[in-house]
Amino acid sequence: MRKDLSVILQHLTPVEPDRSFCEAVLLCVHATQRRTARLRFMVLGSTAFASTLALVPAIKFAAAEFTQTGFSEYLSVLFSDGGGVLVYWHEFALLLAESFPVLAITLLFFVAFVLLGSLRLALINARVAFMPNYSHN
Amino acid sequence: MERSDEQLIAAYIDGDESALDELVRRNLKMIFNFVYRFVGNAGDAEDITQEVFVKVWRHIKDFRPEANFKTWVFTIAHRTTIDWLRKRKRLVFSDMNSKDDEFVFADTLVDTEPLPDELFARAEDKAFVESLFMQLSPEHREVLYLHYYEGLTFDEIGNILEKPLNTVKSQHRRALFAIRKFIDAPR
Repeated sequence: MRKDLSVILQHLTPVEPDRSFCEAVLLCVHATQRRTARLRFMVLGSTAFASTLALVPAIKFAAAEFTQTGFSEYLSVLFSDGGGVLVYWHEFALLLAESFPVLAITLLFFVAFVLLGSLRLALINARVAFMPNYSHN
Repeated sequence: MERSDEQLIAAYIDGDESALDELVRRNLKMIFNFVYRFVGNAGDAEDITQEVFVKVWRHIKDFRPEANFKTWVFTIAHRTTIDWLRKRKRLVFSDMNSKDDEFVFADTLVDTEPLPDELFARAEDKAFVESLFMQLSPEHREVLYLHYYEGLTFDEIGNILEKPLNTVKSQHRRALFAIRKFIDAPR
């Protein structure tokens, strides 16, 4: 750093912004925060609503698949003939694995995950979007 | 104990809303002055500074904890100012790129050559220093301000202005040339 130029440029007076400027900037930032949070709340809220509606057919589909593949029947054998299941546990386990309705369960978990996730995020954004004005210290 | 800027960002991300307010208050004057020295107008500087801190909030989660906050926020300020001026068509390409032929000699100057004594004699005249500074092109003002006023290295300035190190050093030499030219110009 050149000391001569440093000496000269030290005489550059720092410009003081208007006193209310800091508060104006903070208000602007907070207003932008609230606006963004409101938008996210609307999108996430809609997603939560849609996934709630999708949950019912997802549960029905999973229940139907459990019956159709025979999984629920095989599982009931576990309670009705436990001894036999124990003897042939290896074959029984394979039978359960083959008849397990993977697609239906995956779909159900996905819908539930989207519902819970979007609800959680919607609540977080609702707190920012609708809380009272900040009081600056 | 006062928290550093980087700690304030970490605190804000962890949920401390007041940390952002403190960060803004602490850095507002610094950014305002940088922008003001660039655009030369307090009203425009206020608008741009406001936009800078909105962007700081928007991208706060992109800030890497090991990075330097000052460099990061100056980068945002630089980009925001350029964009703002371009939108209002107040910045033409030639403003940011000095004519090469004018400064070929400047690049041959040895950087340690002393400035004229006259400059020191008038240095205490704040109005003169302000006038001298504002005579320089925006790119020269940026380099001189960040180096001598904010104490940043040429390397850091290069990162902020997104220019190679040698370009920044060249602009520094050209700024010195422009200052000498201004002093030597007939009045």
